Amino acid sequence: MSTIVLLGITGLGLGGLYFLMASGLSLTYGLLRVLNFAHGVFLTAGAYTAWLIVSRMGGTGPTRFAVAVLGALVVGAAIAAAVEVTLIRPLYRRHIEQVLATVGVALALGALAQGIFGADPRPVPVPPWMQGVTSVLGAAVPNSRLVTIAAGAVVLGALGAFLRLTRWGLIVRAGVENREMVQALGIDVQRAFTLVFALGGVAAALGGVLSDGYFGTVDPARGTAMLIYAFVVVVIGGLGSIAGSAIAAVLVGLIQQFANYYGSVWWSFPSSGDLAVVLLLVAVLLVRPRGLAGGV
Amino acid sequence: MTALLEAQDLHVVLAGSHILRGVDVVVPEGGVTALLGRNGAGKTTTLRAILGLVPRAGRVRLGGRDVSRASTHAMVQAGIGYVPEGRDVFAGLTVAENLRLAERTAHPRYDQVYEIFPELSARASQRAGTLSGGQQQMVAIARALLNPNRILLVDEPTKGLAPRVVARVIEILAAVSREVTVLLVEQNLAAARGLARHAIVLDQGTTVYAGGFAEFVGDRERVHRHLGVALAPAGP
Repeated sequence: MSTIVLLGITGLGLGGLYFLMASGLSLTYGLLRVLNFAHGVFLTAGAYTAWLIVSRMGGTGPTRFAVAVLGALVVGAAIAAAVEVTLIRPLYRRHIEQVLATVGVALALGALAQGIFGADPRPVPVPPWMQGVTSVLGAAVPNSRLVTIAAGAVVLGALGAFLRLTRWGLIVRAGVENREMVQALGIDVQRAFTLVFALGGVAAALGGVLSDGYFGTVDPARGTAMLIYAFVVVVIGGLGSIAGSAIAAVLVGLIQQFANYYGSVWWSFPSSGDLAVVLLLVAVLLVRPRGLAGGV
Repeated sequence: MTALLEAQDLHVVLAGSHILRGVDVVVPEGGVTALLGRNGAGKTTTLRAILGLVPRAGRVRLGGRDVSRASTHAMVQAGIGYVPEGRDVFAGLTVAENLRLAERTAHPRYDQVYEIFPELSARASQRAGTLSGGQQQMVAIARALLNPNRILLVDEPTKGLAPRVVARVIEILAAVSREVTVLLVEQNLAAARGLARHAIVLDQGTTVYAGGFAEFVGDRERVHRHLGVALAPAGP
């Protein structure tokens, strides 16, 4: 029983990380029709910013962690907005060029991070309370998992409130349906694009900070590795749907964790989680080609 | 005659097809100007080109001011309201959200809108995608009426609607045109006949007539040549 609880909560935690990454991707695609392969860079930037801050600031208290989170969010938002303004905006409606440009940025900035920080994973001094465990139904659950679950839930709630309760959210929801008509109502949709990119950058950067605590290390390939799963989550959930991404992130995280564990125990096949995720993707695409929230 | 909106030598090339080949549009201030033409003549593209919704060459002036380089949202902010063909309501948003999105001033004219369309008030929380075609048309027109406009570009407002609803829409447009200039694309010549004072006729992407509406429809041979329809005599 405790194993199942531990696997379940760990899977939910992983799902939280995937959702932080996928929510921005999904919004970006829904509004701008941009497949942003540079999205992983925002996570990596957040992860390294947090690592730099906690490595250089003294003490171990919550202040240091809060500063690290804040710094990472600012850097994530700034890089995302800069990518949108300088790279995506000049290439609107030119989808192939956008994909090529974002792939180029991902490769270039990934190489830059590797050049500056090295290719090897570096340990991240996370706060002691995050390294501890909490007993849940007899299972000793690492607090980092609980934090990522809570962060995913908070971001889901915040995005939902933003989309439902604010005028900018209304513009984004309308823009996902018909971007042209939003402009024809006298709204500067470009500003909404930049805002959505920045929000995606914030969520991904938060994912980067929490991935430091989740994995205990930071490395230049983290964003790229997470991006693959985030794309899977976005496709399974339905492009442009935040709720769909949340459901898909939980599904992918849980299935991956359980498959990894039982694949190792029963068949000595530790990578069975990745296989199970791919099978889930194939099944969803066969049954609901537009994703769980996108209909048949 | 003062020109409120002028578009000169509009050219639009879409997917390799030269859709507009030098269209000229002059809309005088006040009343309804009908933009007529056969299917595929370029009427909808002309409205979209004026608003910058498609890449275009040519000049556009609003009230004598050159707005050719203005973005779509800036043109709308300058007072060009748009009611698109097919309504283009945001299906996933409620009626109230559709209207809220269209607000451009601190004091949107909800009183006026709900006076004209009382059913929209009753259906405020209903998703626009679940409305009938006529109700969606009302939302589309209401969005434009919420704000003070200098001109309304209205594209095929009666298309696909039941005859009873068509009569209502024409009635509303007639009332609206007493306050704001309307450039109306209308395939239903009988509907346009009750509204328009001026006509601009397009044929194969060029302007072939600009002048009085009555003069145009009075020449049956010309109507048949450019619109491909035989016009029934006007009612009493």
